Amino acid sequence: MSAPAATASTYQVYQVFIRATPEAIWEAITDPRFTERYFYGTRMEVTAERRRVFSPEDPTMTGDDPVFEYDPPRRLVHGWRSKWNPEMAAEEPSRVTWEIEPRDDGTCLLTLVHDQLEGAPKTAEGVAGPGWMFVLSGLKTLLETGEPLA
Amino acid sequence: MTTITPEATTTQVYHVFIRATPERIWNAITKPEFTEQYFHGVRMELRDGRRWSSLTDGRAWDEAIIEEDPPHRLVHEWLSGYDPELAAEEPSRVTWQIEPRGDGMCLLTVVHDRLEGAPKTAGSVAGEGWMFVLSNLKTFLETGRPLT
Repeated sequence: MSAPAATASTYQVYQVFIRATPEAIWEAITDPRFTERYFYGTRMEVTAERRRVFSPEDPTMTGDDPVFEYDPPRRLVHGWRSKWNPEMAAEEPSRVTWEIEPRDDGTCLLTLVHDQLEGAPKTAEGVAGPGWMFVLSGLKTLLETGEPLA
Repeated sequence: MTTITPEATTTQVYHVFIRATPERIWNAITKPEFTEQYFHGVRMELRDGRRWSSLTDGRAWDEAIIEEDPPHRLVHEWLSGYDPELAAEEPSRVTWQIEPRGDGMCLLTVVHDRLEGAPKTAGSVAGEGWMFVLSNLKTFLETGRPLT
């Protein structure tokens, strides 16, 4: 039996609590040495201007999207195009926001919003529910245990 | 304070991937010695077709079990017995689904629905509410100790 599908809306919100500092989470989402261990093997290099994606294993996993907001270690906003799938890649770009909020108990709440998906219905469906939560679950496991989830 | 607030809808769906077997996840959600470690200190157990919850300060409540299929699926009523105002609302429903995904990993899906008669409960469990519990459960299973 399959799980109920999450609605693929044009405004998707995902949250996870992580036992890590804001700085460690920021590094894990902007440094290619970390991203390749939980983000489908892709190396992501994020500067204040661009977010570049590259995979040593899979040449289709590439990307180069604009960074709209760069406020380490709290907030990152960048463009999103699903370059690994030709159908999705032909869709309009959407937007991803990462927000890191420290709590008093040594944990952080990481909130990810994927929105402006009106012109990218296939991407919206592709990333919905387990899509983004696989990435965020892997990020949490890597930061808390030092080992990748899968 | 976060500037982003997820909407409190009457059907809420949450996912988390956990490095654990279905059996370990099932035990973590059905055995009081585990639930008290990550579920706001609540001891929960399944007995006689009901799910019994209790806190050390004496608060206790129970809910009907609708489906019990270890170690893959548990469906039960939800009453917010920890809070008198929320507890006065109509019962809603929670579905836990555990699916093996290879590599010693499972996808845990929680659906909290039938919240039409429980708007305060819907607001209280939305987003951070459920994701705190599921984040804590994941940390507990993967590192042996709760998140906080």
